Amino acid sequence: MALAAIPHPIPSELHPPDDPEIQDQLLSLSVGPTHPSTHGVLRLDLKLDGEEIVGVVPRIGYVHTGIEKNVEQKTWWKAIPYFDRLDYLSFLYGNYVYVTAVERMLELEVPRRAQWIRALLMELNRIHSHLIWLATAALELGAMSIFFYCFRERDRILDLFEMTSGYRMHTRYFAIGGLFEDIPPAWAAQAQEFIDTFPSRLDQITDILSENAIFKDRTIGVGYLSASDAIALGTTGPNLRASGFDWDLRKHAPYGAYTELDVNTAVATEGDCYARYRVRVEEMYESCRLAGEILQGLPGGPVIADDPKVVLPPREELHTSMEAVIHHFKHVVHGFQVPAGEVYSTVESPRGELGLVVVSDGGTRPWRVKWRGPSFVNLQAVATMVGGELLADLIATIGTVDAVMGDVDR
Amino acid sequence: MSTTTPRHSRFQREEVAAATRLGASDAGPDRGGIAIATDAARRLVAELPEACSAWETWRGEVTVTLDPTRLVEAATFVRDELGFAMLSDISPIDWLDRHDKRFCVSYVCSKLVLGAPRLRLHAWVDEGEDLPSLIGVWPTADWHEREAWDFFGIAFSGREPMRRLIMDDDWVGHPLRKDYPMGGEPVKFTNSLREV
Repeated sequence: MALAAIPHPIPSELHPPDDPEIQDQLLSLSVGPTHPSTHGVLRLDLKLDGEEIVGVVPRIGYVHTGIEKNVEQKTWWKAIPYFDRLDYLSFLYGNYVYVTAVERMLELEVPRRAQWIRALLMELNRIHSHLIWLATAALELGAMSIFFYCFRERDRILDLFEMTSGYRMHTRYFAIGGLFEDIPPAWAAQAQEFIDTFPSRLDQITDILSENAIFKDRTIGVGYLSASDAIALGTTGPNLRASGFDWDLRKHAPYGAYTELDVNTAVATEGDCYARYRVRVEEMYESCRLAGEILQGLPGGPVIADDPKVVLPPREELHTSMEAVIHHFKHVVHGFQVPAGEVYSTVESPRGELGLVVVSDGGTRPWRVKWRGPSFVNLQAVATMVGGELLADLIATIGTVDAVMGDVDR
Repeated sequence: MSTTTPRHSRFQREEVAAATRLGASDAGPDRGGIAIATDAARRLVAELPEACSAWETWRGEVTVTLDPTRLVEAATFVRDELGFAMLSDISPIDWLDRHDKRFCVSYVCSKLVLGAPRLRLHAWVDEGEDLPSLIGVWPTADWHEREAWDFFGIAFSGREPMRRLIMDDDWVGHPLRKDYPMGGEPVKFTNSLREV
């Protein structure tokens, strides 16, 4: 019985025909919400014909925490830490997309050094996020050792984040107008050591997988997504690039330091799980190269805009300057005002186009914040990818879509 | 099952994908995304004057306000004639009584050419009014529309009946509305339950 890809008015779901005779033969299976391969708490209601998937209904919302609503109660600068916690594997991107939105509304110039350090840290964050993806996606397909190798490398990146901000994850390192503070003196040497050694370490990891017969059998030709489907469903990031459409905001709509850098995007045409694997691995090498280039060319100068109306005064000035105390008091108690209007700020996160709609009514708090999570949108494509495939292929497909449920449920 | 035979697309929109290939006629490194978006807004207003009530540019972003009843027509024009192949986001904004109508639904359309031009479409609806669904134009609108129903109670016509997406199916109210209280629910501790 070939039931794959039945046209249905619901794009994010797949349903078998309403014929009772067919329905009687089907098995209903609920995968998740706490199945280890669902990357958080995702539930999929499946209809199976034997082992073939003929119906998929994704159910989300298990880790919804109402962050968009919470942010409306916070002043502009107190809202920053919330955005680190949405997509918890690419925290700096959430941080970035919010502070750039506010900077654009305020028409604030960010110093060049701050932009370059932001780009450098975000590239390291991309490697971190992809390493966790590789660790878990490979683990689901039975490759246990990859997990440990990836986490060993990931820990070195977290050490670097800890040096900059004191936190390993959710650093809140980007502030409106620049950075919270400059990177410490010993940081560059340690980052350089990571950048020098990482490509060979990644070689070791991918040598185990790339030509592994079991891994290739499980991923090649599995979870196919065509480029036109991907665009129709709003899919972005590595998932879109693995379907053969070269689209990367760093390259096609450069922002911040990327206006001065050349980014090589990795593109594959097959649109299957193996293509998504290859694209992400290539991106890790490219991010490492970019991080090295940025670190070498890191400009000097201040790391935060000189605008006391919207930037907190330096801590040491509070002891000597009355103006600093006044500004600090105004910031903390009242907050600053942002001109009324609406902006859509974007960044190329490890999962795709991370967008943030920020609406201001001219007051001291955001009137409305809407998080356009790439995982949220990419997850809609799962039903299209797995229709007509086997149940085991679903695990490989969800693994390579790389959805983070914090990003989906917010 | 491993198979390398080419498979068909679920959404038959090859022509849209082809039209948005990078290097399409009006894309180029010299032309910023803002210029392309501004041209697109001018064309939209010129060709569908009765569907558009206003357009403006703020902080380099172009917003066209549309008549909600002609949303599908305008969206199809934006996708096919102006080449905005991807719908990036739908975000409802609750303005309570600050405007004539309560909700502003903001659609962000993206053109996949150099500069990533964005065109924002605004449609205003009041409480209890429906908006036409854009699933037929951009299938990605599915979850965004369900979320708008879930969080704001904005219903969309021309699609399957609205279901909640994020909140529980039996949840009461639409939590991102401005008049929905922030406070928590009373928690039943075991020492306050006599029967336990």
